[in-house]
Amino acid sequence: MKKINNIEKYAKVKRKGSTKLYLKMTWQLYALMFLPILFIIIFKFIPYYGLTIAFQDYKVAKGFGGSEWVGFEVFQKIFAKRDFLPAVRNTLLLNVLDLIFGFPMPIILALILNEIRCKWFKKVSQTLMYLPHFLSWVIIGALGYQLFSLSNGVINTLITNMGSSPIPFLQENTWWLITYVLIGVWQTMGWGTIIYLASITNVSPELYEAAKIDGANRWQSCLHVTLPCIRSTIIILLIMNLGKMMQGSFERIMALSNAKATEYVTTIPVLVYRWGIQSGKFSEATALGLFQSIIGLILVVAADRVAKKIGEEGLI
Amino acid sequence: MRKGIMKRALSIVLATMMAAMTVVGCGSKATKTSESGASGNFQNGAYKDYSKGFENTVTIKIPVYDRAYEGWDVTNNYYTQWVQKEFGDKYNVKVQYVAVGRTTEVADYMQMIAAGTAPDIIFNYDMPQAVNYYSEGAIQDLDLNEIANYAPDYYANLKDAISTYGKLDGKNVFAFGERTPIYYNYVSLIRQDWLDKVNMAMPTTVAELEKVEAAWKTAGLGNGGGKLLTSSFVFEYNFLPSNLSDKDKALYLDLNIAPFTWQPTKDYLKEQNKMYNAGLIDPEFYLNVKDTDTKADFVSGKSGIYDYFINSSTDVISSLLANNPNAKVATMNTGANTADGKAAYYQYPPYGMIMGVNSKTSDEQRAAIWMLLNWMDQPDNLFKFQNGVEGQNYTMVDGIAVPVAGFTGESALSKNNNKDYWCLVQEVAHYDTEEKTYKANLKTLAPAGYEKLISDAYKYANDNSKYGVITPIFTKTVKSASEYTADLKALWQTAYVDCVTCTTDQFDAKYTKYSKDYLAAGYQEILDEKQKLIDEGSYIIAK
Amino acid sequence: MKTKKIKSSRIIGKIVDAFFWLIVILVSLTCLFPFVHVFAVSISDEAYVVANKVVLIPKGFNLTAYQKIFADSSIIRSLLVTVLITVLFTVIGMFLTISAAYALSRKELKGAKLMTFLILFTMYFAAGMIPDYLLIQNLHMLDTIWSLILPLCFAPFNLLIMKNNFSASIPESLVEAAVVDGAGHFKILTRIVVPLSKPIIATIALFYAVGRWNAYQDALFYIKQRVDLRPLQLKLYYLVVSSQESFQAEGGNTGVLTNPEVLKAACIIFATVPIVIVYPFVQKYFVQGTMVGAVKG
Repeated sequence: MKKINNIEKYAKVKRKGSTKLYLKMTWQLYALMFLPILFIIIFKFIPYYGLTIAFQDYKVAKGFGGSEWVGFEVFQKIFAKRDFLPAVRNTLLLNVLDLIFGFPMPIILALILNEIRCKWFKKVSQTLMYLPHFLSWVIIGALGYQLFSLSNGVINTLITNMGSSPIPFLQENTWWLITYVLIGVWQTMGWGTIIYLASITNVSPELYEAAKIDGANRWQSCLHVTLPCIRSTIIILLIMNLGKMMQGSFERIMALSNAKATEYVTTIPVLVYRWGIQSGKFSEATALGLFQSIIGLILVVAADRVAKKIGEEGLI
Repeated sequence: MRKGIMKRALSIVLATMMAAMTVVGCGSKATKTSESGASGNFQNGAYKDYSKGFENTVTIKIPVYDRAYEGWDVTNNYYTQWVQKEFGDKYNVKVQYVAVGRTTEVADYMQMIAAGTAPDIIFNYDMPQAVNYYSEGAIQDLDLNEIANYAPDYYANLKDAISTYGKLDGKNVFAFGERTPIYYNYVSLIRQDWLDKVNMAMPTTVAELEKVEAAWKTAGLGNGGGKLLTSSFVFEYNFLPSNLSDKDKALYLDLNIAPFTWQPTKDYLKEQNKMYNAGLIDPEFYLNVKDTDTKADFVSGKSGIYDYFINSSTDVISSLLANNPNAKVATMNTGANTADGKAAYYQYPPYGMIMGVNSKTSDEQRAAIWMLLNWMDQPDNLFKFQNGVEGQNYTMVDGIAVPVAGFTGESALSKNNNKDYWCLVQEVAHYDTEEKTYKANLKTLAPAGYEKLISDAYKYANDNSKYGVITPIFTKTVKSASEYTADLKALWQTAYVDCVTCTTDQFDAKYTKYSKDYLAAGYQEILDEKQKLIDEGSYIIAK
Repeated sequence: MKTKKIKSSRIIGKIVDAFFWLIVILVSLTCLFPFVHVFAVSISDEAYVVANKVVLIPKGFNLTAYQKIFADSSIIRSLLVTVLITVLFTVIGMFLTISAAYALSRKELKGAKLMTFLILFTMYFAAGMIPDYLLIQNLHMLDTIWSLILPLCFAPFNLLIMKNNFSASIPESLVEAAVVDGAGHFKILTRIVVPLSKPIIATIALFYAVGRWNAYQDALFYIKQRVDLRPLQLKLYYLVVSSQESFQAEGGNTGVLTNPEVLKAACIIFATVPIVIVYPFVQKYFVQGTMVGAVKG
């Protein structure tokens, strides 16, 4: 490692010299990319021919090449369905709420955990906090009803015992929205801290020392040292989440929805399931999926451009 | 720079897609268009004779539901080996069982059809889904004379069903498993001890039921249960007018599409609304979606009525007793949901499993399938499939097979008694006389010590036998039905729950509003299309 | 004066600490609660579970469900299959991800932006169930463990996070110095980048492992005839589903799986505990990279 210690000397080496060396070695980068790109092509891009059924009257037995082409008819059909616009509205609403309330939580939790010095407490609490990530929505839903249902829910039993009237957490539209978002936040917040905690460890301790010397208290060093260092992670996660604005978890809706509070329950993923799997209308489900994907890609690219404009590295 | 990347990226994506399409091929081979007459096995005035076996080994793929039973290999076990030995080896046929997930069956079938690896039989219990397979081009036309030739015994049993119900758009398309239905295995359990507590007799009409449930409420015992209706719509049967015409039956009766705008439905919903507002049924009935939910309410003592398919290994009664040691159960009188005690019920068509033959299946494979069905339908073979080996799985007592409790030998049946294998030829196991069937069912349906539950159900079923309602079947595909069924099912739930749970004075307004929505959501189109078919006579109603 | 200021700031600091501890404890408890419930159900008597009477405290203590699990060789086999595919999945995935993340973070790689965009593209566009199935079938991977490993082992999300992390935290001067010294990219990757990036590598490896462990949707369609290759979560799914199955359409005499609810809960615990206890071991990699302090700007 003696060579690395002479960095100062080498850092002053003219760029030109090293540029030649760089060019000689670039083939190695391509070699590194070979297998990953191969995987992407085989497992992701080749099946994309299946997207063409959004423009066909797809009959399973006739296959992808044998079904009749209908151009944009399928899209016109799904856009005209009475559930489409409400589904778009609901999808956006639920995702925006998830973003507003769910996105900051892991960051805040990570910052708080970072402040805690007791190692074993940190370890134990982290392990506990990401347990919800391992539960399937079916189980969370069943548990949710056991807790929150109007007449027998544990929480409402406590509330009525204290003299107040029960709250329809899952059985009234606005409350359902609140409960849905809160449960979503709860499920993801622990797991989400992992990536931020990993980034926080990249912060060099010298920066903290320097801040302390400058007289910063805990809050200020958190704000001006920790946060900026995980800024790029926050930005790219935000960008990727923006791309999911038209998507969503079908299982989460199915687990938490019921026949009483149905205002916000129909979303695009629900329609994909209903029209695709339940009705076997693959052309329509694929068209809907394409709609989601295109919107998502546009949002991601736009968000990335904005990020680059404000000086961040961005995704691409 | 950005634009350049996008353009290049998109062109790469499109190029890959085009390349992949040529690789995948220009679609699969065209579906076999069979001639309007006899099949390919018919040559020189007669069907080819395969009774000595096939010249070259013929492989047939037979689907079987996989319910993921622990320790059971659904494609390779004693019985699949037995089929191969006794049938396959005799005729030089390789019988290959293909697992189809019970809950993922449509997706599994679609994938296999797309890949060209689907089994030679394409089946479903649901007629609309079977029709859907047909309109996807996955099923070939049938020659009934061919079935009669290669499967004479099977065809003798099912001739009427196949020629009546198996036609679609004028072509013979479906074969069936035979169904001799029993109606005493779906029971409503009622808390007899609760009836005793309030000193009331078993209700025989809905008016009496209301009084009973009101008494239960006053005594603080519990409610009358309730469940969310999501499919298999027969709720309106108890409100049908007595002079219901066949045409109206064809127009409105539908297991998959609730006839929301019909008067009987309105009457049903009004009644439910009344009961809901009086606190007689479960105030959260719409949360009871699965059987486990209603079971939980019954077992914990929250509700006093529970509907389900009873069988001897049920844990409902034991769980009930564990939570309520003094509980007593009885079969509820089927009239308790009706105005006049005459309980209308859904009368099953004479078929169970609906089977189509894969459009890619060859002539010889098809012949082999008929021969297999015929072999399975032989009384001895069917009996072995359903009961096992005498002396091991069961013993014969008075001409009835009595299962040996806890038998775990090599020839042990699957958890549902091999149903998924013999459902191709028979839907409900039965003996040659109805009496024997009843005696055998008594043993398999009744939990130990509770035979009265079944005998009561049997009595009620017999008393009601003339009130069966048969749903007419359309002989042409109802396109708008497949288009809107899923959406209407979702709208139905919102609409009917709101109508039932609102206050009584709001009912009429809500019902009118939702009726409008329902019609606009596709029901009007369905009614129009069905009416057209009815007017031209494209429907059948079995007598 | 000064000591007063220090004292009051110390007190505030302690209050803030206590507040943080409180929040973390509350959050941890709410996260623990469902597991306590599932665990309580798994050691309770079926009758009470069916009646929804078990919330946090088991009723009618018995261990029959766990006995059934450990006696059932197919569930043990499922566990082994799951461990095998998770390990292979993670190893192959990490190999691909680290290589690609490093290569794409190098500015001299021509076409890096295009390749990144194409990879990002696949995050938002999915071909659909049937084309995916056809691909796996054409590759003869149906009913093999490879159908559960290869298609998903290179995850764009993980790649983008790691690439971003490399760009942000590997000092360019360090790489330059190594280049000048004659090191190729392979050496730089293995000798410099990887040792410096332990936290992110541990994190992404965890993401891969947990992602594979929890998922069953692909196994649902790709593992059909080979019952012995069913991963644990798929078995759990079948258990959950079979306990909800309604026999309405068939109306025959069908057997009922006894004790489904308790068995279901026990399987959930059995399927979750192994992967949950992985995290503490991963945690120890969340330490400073040793080289970070060696280079100044």
